[in-house]
Amino acid sequence: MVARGNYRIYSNVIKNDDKFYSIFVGSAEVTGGRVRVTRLSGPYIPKIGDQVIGMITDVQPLAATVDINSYINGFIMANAFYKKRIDPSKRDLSEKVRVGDLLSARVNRIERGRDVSLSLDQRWRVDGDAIFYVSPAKAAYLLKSKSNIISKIKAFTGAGIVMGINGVIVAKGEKDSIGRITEIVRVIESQVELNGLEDMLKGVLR
Amino acid sequence: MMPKKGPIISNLRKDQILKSISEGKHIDGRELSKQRSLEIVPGIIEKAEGSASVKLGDTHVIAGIKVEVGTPFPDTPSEGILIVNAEIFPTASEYQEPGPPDEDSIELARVVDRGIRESKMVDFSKLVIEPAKQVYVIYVDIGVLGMGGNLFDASSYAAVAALMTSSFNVYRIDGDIPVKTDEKMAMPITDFAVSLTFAKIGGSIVIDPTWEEEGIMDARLTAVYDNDGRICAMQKGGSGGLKIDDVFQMVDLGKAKYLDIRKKIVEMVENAKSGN
Repeated sequence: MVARGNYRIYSNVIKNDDKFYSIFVGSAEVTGGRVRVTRLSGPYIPKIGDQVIGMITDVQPLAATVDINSYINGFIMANAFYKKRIDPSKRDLSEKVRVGDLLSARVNRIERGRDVSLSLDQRWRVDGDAIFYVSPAKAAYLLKSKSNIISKIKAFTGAGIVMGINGVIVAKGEKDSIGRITEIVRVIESQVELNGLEDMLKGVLR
Repeated sequence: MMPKKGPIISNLRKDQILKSISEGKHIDGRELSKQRSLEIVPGIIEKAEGSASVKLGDTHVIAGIKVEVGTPFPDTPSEGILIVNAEIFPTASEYQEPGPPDEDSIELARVVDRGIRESKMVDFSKLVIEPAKQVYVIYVDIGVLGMGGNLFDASSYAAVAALMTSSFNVYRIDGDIPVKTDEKMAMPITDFAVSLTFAKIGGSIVIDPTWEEEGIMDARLTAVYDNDGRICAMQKGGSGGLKIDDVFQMVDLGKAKYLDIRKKIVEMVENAKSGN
């Protein structure tokens, strides 16, 4: 149980009478008349509108399957790569993407029992020098941080960073910059709770 | 999630691993000739005749020994029987599906079995109750709990440590029926083998590959070293080829390393036996 009384449910909480129970192991927040729990671990759970970084795991004539670091795969229709309707008998999607490529996309439809439908970002191809994975809960927390912590990490390390809410980070930069990001990722993963993560990072970035 | 045989490594991660290896380091920062941290805990399953848990980096394996009585094989009437089974549990990795053992599990069991058998670790002639009629059957069951790469070595160390610390009830023949007694017998161990696995990645030879490294390796070689450093079993894996120089480089590296692992296994087993 995380709270008792009259609250509005924000996320990951169920209500029974006047009691609020967490449905995951996580960090609870009861503020502003709302109660919510942020998961500390586990796979990424897609939500419509999320910006994710995925990896192509299969290329078929009509669509590509994408690993989005979740319990479920994503897929992108072949038309999206050409920005127009294509005839799969005349075009081969593997001329655009191959297995192992990284891309930036948004979740646009979730249906029970089916893969998650994704739409490509304007500049969808993701390239860099190193890829890192952090807990999706921590990625979401950092991306939504009001103090714009990602920009501070970019400024401190001197590297270009693309981060998906699914916990995938792609960095581009010199060896020293990548080394600094490796250290920052280690700090992010070593912090058990979300509370204090931002302060801890600010300490490292000073 | 779509069932996958193994990890698909992104092209970026592949480049990152290859770059790291060309600079003389595993992707986790180790030297190419250095194993991950090894932790062996024997005696973790109370009801088994012997057991051990092995953690090799992120790889976690448990092994359990059960001893029963059975009929010997016709070609070895005066020897006990060894049966090794391995199972990779679905919780070990997101790519592992539930169901009967797949070809990877069968290969894993075969390689561990070969290492135990060919090193003459167990004196099977002492596992006979009545020649050609009743012998002890040693079951070694291996369960993979965490798939972090190099299951061969972790499973081999777990099986070896479990066998070395196992003891079982002696059976006596009453008429034609084997009867279990309260008397205990230690597993007749004469020697033991140390397995070391190498991978060829981007032209470099590395020891103890991680799961991601296994995903991009060209070829893999497991060599099992006996007490005197002689190779008593081998297994080659992966679709790529190995040059003769690669094989020599691997086995020479193993020869320089096997004693460290051997000492560690002996130390852990002695500690377990003395109750530390």
